[in-house]
Formats: sequence, C-alpha cells, structure tokens
Amino acid sequence: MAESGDCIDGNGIGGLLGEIFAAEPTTAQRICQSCGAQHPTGAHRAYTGAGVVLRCPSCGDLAVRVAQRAGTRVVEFRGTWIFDQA
Amino acid sequence: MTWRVGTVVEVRPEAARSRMIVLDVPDWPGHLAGQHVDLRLTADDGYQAQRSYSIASAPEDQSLALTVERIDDGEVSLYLCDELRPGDPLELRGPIGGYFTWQVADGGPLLLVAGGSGVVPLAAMLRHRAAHNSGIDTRVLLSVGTWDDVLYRDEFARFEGDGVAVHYTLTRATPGGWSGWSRRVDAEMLRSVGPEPGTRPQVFVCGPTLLVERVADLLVGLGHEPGLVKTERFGPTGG
Repeated sequence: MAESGDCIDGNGIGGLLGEIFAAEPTTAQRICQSCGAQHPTGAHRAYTGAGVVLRCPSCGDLAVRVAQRAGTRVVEFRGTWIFDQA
Repeated sequence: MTWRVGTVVEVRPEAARSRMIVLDVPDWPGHLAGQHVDLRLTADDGYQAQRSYSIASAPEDQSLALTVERIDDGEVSLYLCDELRPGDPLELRGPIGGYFTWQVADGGPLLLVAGGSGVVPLAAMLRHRAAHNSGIDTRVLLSVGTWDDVLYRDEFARFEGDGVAVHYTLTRATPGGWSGWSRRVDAEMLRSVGPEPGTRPQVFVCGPTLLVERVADLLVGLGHEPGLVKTERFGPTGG
C-alpha cells in the first residue's frame, strides 16, 4: 500500500464508524463467511462463559467472539454485516 | 449504553413463585414490547452480578415493570424477590434487543408461545395490543408447570375474546376438574391453537432453551416460515 494519495486516516471516518457501532445490533443481518446463510444477529446462538461466543444458526461457525478484560472488550467479528441506517 | 439508577416503586407477588417489580427510571427512553433490560447488583465488597430480565409493562404504561421468577439457588433472583423494597435503588441498562419485538403497526396474525416465565415479554405485547384496542388475531399458548405458577392469569382472562385466545398446557400437575392439555407442547397442540401457517403469522417463542428449540422446529415442520418465527432463549439456567 505504498500509494496513499487517495486515502485518508481512519480517524477521518470516525463519524461513519460511530454510526455503525451505535446501530441496533440485534436486527443487523449477518452473512456467514462459512455457509453463506443470512440471519439477524438476534437469531444467532450465543454461548456465554468466561467470554461470549456467537454462532451462525445454520452452520454453527463463529460470528463474534468477545473476551472481557479489566476495562476492555476484545472483539473478533466474522462474516459480512448489514446495519440499518438510523 | 449507559447504566441508569432506577428506584423501586413497588414489589408485589405474582403467581406462586414470582414478583412484579415496578420501577421509576429517570429519563427512561421508552421501549418496545418484547425488549429486556440488564440489571446489575453490586455487593458491599464490590462483587457484581448481572442478569437480563424481560420488560413486562407495555410501552404505554406509566412505569417500567419487570417480573422476576424466584430461582431457589439463584443469587440475583433471591435478592430481587426476597430483599428488594420500595425506595431501593436498582441499577439497569436498556431497553435492549430490537429483534424480538412486536408493535401493533407490524400487524398480524400473531402467535405467542411461552414456557414458564417466558411469558413475560409476550405479556408486554398483549398489553401493548390492548392499549391500542387492536383486534389483531392473536393466539397464545403457555406451557406452565402447575396452575398456581401461571403468571397474569386474571389479566389474560380479561384479554380473551376480542381476537385473543389463550391456551394453557400444565406439564407437572393439574387441578381437579382440569379439562385442558397436560403434556409438553407438540405439533397437534400447535395445529389446534393456530393460526394457519398459510396466513403468515408472526410468531414469538420464549422460554427455556430446550422448549424454544423444540417449538421452533415443530412450527417450521408445520409450515411456518422460519424467518417469521422469532425466538428468545432463557438458557439452561436462570438465576
């Protein structure tokens, strides 16, 4: 990525990212990276323990993994996500 | 989402093992029927415990009300049912979950199926429906252990007619003279409750995980559209 003439800093899209992270999460649609099925987040299967794992209701593959540490959340998102614009 | 501090207005018994907790929450943003809140309790030594509870009140109601089932070995529900008093502060955040919600504007027909205290978010939907004098065809099937465990019994009886039909199946014990169902929810029962899958009802199923999965599978087997069957699992344990 040597050519940087037509990009901006991630900081510059803070407004867009803030809009996405503030969207209603349970009605967001997710397309599974593994089986291609599309389901709302609210229809996925959540397994809670030391952390939280969210799985595709069709194939069981990983959708979200959340680890909690003091004062932080460490999050892995997988698949394609579709958020409604507020 | 920020934590707020509400004040307990009232705690009253609801059926044999539950309590209705009415809260005054400053700046409550309002909710949709079917949503829940997270409650957080903090002990003197800083230990915190957090649980989710469905909102029982309709969006139109004056106060926010939760119904909490007393779980004998549950640390949070024991405190809420046995210790909480009017005037006590209670920390909560919400409303949470736009997925498992219904509004009159979403239309019907409606099929609501619950196991045990899974009826709570469905009660909010029925109260919301009543607040709007809606005549939407609404079928309700509640699987409960005993007649004494049935939540909101008198209120639901008043909802009957006007397009609402409420059915019970008692899975542990039945009172004398009981002529209703006394078995786990099965396909025959769901077929009898209706409405016909061909009318494309919006279906909400809430309760313990095993019941929810079985009922959702049965409904899809009967021809209901999977995308119209929304589920809310309580998990294997409460607390």
